[in-house]
Amino acid sequence: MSLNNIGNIGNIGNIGNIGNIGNIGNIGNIGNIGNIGNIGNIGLEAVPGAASGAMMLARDGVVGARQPAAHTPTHLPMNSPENLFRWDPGSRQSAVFVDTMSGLDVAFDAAAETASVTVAGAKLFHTDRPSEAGFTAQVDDIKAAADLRGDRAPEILAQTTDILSFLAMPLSLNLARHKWTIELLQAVMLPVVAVEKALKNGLACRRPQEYDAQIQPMITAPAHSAFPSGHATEAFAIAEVLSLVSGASGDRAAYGEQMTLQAARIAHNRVVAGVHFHVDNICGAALGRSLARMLLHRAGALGGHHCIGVKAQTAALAGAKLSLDDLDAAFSGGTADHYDASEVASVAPAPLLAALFAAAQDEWT
Amino acid sequence: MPGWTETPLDADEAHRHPYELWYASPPGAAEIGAPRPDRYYPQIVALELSVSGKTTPLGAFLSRAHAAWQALTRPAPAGGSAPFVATPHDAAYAFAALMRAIHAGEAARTELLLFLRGDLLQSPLERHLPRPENAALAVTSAQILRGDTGLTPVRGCLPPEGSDTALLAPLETALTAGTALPPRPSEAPPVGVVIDHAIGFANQVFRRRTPKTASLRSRFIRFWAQGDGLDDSPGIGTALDAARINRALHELTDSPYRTEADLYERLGLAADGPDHHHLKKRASHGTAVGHVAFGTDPDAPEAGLDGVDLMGIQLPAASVARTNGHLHDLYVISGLNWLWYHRLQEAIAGRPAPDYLVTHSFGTFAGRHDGLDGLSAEFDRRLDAGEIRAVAAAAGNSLQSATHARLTAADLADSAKCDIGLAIQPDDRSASFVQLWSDLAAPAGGSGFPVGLSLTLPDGTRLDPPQGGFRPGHAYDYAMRGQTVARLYCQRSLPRAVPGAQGHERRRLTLAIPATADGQGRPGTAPEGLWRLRLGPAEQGFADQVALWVERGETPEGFAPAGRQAYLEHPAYLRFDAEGRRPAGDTGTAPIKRFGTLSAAAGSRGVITAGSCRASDASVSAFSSASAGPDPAQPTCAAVSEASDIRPDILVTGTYSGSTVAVRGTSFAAPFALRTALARLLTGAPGTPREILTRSLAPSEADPRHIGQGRVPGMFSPTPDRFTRR
Repeated sequence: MSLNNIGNIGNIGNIGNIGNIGNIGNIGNIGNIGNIGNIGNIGLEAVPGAASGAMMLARDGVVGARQPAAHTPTHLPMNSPENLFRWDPGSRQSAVFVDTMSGLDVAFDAAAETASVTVAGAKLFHTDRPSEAGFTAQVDDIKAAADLRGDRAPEILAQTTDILSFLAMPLSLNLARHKWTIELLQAVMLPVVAVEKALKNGLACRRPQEYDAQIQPMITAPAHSAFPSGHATEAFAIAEVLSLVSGASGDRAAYGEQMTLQAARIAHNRVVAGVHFHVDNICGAALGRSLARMLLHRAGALGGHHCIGVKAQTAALAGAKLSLDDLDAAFSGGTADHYDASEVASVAPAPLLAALFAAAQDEWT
Repeated sequence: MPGWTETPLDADEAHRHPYELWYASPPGAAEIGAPRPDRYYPQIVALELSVSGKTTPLGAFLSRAHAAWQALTRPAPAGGSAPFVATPHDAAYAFAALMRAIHAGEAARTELLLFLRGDLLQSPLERHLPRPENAALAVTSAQILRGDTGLTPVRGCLPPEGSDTALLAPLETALTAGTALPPRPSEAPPVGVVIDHAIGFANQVFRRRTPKTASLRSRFIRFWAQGDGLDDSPGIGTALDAARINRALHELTDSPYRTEADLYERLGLAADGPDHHHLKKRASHGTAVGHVAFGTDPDAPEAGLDGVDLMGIQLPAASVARTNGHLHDLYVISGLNWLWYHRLQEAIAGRPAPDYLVTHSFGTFAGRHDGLDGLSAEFDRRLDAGEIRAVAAAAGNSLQSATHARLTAADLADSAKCDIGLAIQPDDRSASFVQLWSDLAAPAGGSGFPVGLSLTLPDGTRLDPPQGGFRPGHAYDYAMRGQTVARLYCQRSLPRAVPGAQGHERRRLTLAIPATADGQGRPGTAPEGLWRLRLGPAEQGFADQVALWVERGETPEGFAPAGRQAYLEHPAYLRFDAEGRRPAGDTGTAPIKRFGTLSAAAGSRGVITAGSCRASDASVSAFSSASAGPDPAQPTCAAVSEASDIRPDILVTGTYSGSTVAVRGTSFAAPFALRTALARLLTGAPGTPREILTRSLAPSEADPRHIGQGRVPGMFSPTPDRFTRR
C-alpha cells in the first residue's frame, strides 16, 4: 500500500489536478490531498492508457448485438451537499471553493488608508494601513527579538513550509483517521489565503529589511507584502477550525488554548526571523480568526460572529505586540487595545461547507 | 630598541585590582562592556574615622563620606544624578564592622561598598578621609533598619514599615557589645541561596503546595535582581519580596495565555534585546543551578526539600558577560551583605534567623589561589563568623584550556621551558589578561618581580624588561602608532585577613592586552596571533616558583559575541594522549600545567568546592579543573555532571516550567554537592553542611587534586523516581 503517495500531512496545498490553486498562495501547506488518488500508481483514472487497447478487444469479444437498455437510472438530487462525497477530492474542493468565496470581497480606500473585507455586502473585517512612521517605530523591536534566533532556529526553518505540524501537535492530526478534517481545513484555507493575498497586494507594505540594514533576516523574506502576516493569518485560522471541529471547549479547552499558543509562537517566530513586524501579526491573527469564524458560521458551527477592526495608528505601534488576551477580548465583543468589534448580521449558509464540517466533526468522538 | 614606558601608580592605585585600573582608563576605543554614565558600579571604599564616643551617627558618617568624595573628585555634571549610591545593607554591614572594631579597641576603620556612577570611575579616588570632628551620639539601629539615613535604597530592599522599637534592644546591645552580628540561634532553619545569572524563580521546581490553600506558592521569599535595570532608575536593580512574587505567580492563572515569560516581563526582569533577554531563552544558567541545588517537583517533593525557603541574588547580565570577573566579587559581596541584613531583621523581629546555604557557580582562572583574596577570602570570613552556613563553588572547567603554567627555579634555568607562546585570538573584542605570581613572601623594600619577562609581539617586536626589572607600584606601557598594545602592572598583593589562615604579601605582574577587534569586527588595538612570553632570568638566590595564569576571557553563550579565550602554547604540551583522549594530569616537560587550574574563587578551606565526574564509570570529567596541591585549595569532592560517554550531560529544567535541557560542567556539580548535604541536614545529620557532605563521600582512586576527598554518590535527576542511577 503506497501510503507514501498520499502526501505529507504537512502539505495540504495542491487541490489536485485543477491548476494547483492551493499552491498559488503558499497556503501554509495543508497537504497534497490531490495525490490521494495516486494509490497504486493508477492515478484518478482507473484505466491506464496502456490497457485501453486490450479493453477494446475484450469488449468486442463479449458485447454482443446492440439492444436497448432494460433500465433507467434515477437522477441524483440536484445541488445536494450529499453528492459532495461521491467525487474525488480535487473536484470536491473546487466546488466548495465557489461556495465559500461567494460574497467575499476585498475593498481599499487609498485616501483613508484602510482596507476591508465584506461578505455579501456586510463588513466582516477592516484594518488601518500602518504609516511608514508606524512601521519605523517597530524596527527596534525586531532587532531586539533577533536575540532569540538561535533558540528558535529549528522552528523558524521548519515553519517556512510547514505550520500545520506544529499547530496540530495537541491533536496529533492523522491523514488516515482525520481525512475529512484535513479536507475541511483545505476548504477553509483556500478562501483565507485568497483574501490574505488580496489584502497584501492592496495594502502593499514593505518588509522590515527595507526599513533597516541591520535586520538581515535569517530566512529569505517572501516575495509578497508584509502586512498582514500570512503565517499569522493562516495559523490562527487553522487553530480556530481545529478547536471547533475537535470540540475543544469546556473540560477540553486546553486543546484549543495550546493550539492558540502555538499559533502565537509561529507568528512571533516570524518577527524573530526578521521577516515581519509585530503589527503584521496583530492584523493577521485577527484576520485569520475572523475569516475562519465567518466560514464556520456559514457551515452551521457557530451562532454568529463579530466584525473586527484592526487599529494600527502610528501612536499605538511602538512596542505593540500581538496579545492573545487582547485578541480574545475583541472576539467576545469587549474592549481591546488594538481592535474594535461590532456585531454583524448573519451570513447565508454555505451548505457544501456545512456537509464537510459535519463529516469532519464525526471524526472527533 | 622598543621599550616600556614606566609610570608610577599612586599609593591607592598600587593596591587596587589591576583590572579595575585597566577599566578605569582603558586605552583606545571603548571596549564592549565599558562603564556607562547612567549606571552604577561597585567599589570598596576604605574609611577611617577618629571617634571618642562608642558610637557614631551613621547618617553623619555617610554624609561625611559623601562630602569628602565630592570635594575630592571632579564636580558632578550639571543636573546629574547622585555621584554614588549606597544601599542600606552595605552601609549597615560597614557600620557593624566599624562598631566591632571600635569595641575591640582597634582602629576605627571599615570598608564600605558603594556603587559609583559610571562616568566617575576614572577620577582619582582618595580612599582615606581626613579626620572628621567627633559628633554627638544618635545612632539607632532603627535608623539602619528603616533606612532613613539619607541613602538611596535599592527598590524593594527596605525593611517593613513600623519595626517595633522594643525589639531593637537586643540589636543595640549586640552592637555596643561588638558581638557577632546577628547571633546564631539554636533553631536556625536552612535557607537556600542561589547567586547566579538568569534565575527563573517562577519555575514550578521552586514552588510548594501550601496545605491550607492547596495552591502553589513560591519558595522564594526574597529575590534581588541586581540587573542593569530595565527602567530609568539609577539604583542597582529590583528586590522582590514573597508577597510580590506570589502575586505574580497568581496572575499566571488570570488567563490561559499568560506564560512565565510574561511574568518576568511584567516584573521588569525580561525584555527582548541584549542584556535583558536571558529569562526569555529556553535554557538559563541560574534556573539550572537552582534546580540542581534546591529544586524539586512540588507534587512529589524530594526529602522535605520543598520546605526549604529560597533567596535569589541575580547578578547583572553585563557583569556575567565579562568572564574575567571584574566587579563580580563586589556584586556578590553586596549580595552577601543583603543576606546578612535580612538575617539581622529576622533576629530583631524575634523570628528564627536563617542559616544560609549558598550556591555560587562562577569562577575565574587567575588570582592568589591561596584562599586569601577576592571571594575565597570573603566566603571564609563569613563562614567563620557564622553569617553563612555553607558555600558551594564550582572547581572550574578549565583543565584542558592550557591557561596555566608553573616554573620552578630549575625550570627557569632551562631555556626550552622558559619560552611560552601566548595565543591572542582574532576577533577578540575584549581585553586579555595574564597574571604572573611569585609564590613566596615579598621581601621588604621595593624589590621588583623576581623573574624577568620579555614579551615578543606577533610581528617579532621584542620588549625586554626595563633596567632593574619591573618595580612594584608601577605601570608599563608599550604603544604602537600612538595606541597602547600592551600594558603591565607590577604590584604587591596583600592577603586578606582570614581567621585561621596565614598569608604573606606576594609580588604580581599583570599583563593586559587590548582587544584585537572592535564591536563590528574591524581590527582592534592589539595584534592577534602568537605572542611569546620569555621568563627569566631569575634574581640572585631565587628559590621560589613562578605561577602564570591566562585570565578567563571568552564571552559565554547567550551573549553577543565579544571575548575569545587566550591560551598558552608550548611544543612539549600534550593536548591529546596516544589514544586520542585528553590527559588528566601533567606529563613530560611542558611548563603548561593541568594541576593548578582550580578556579580562583574556589580556593578556600571553608567552601565546598566540587569538581565534576561521570556517572557511568565514576571517572573524573575530562574538563574538571584540578588544584596544584593538597593545601589549601584542593577540591572538596567531585559530583556527577555527565551521565556517560554518549550522554555527557545531566537533565535539568529549562527556564520555563515543564521544559527540559541538558547541561554539564562543574557549575552543576557544585549545587549537587550542596543538595546532598542539605538533604542529609534535613534528616537531622549533625555538623556543618561541609562536614555532613564529606562524611557521605564515596572513596575514589582518582587523584585528590581532581576529586578531593571523594565522590558525591548519586546523580541529579529531574524526576528521581524514574531515572535513578547508581
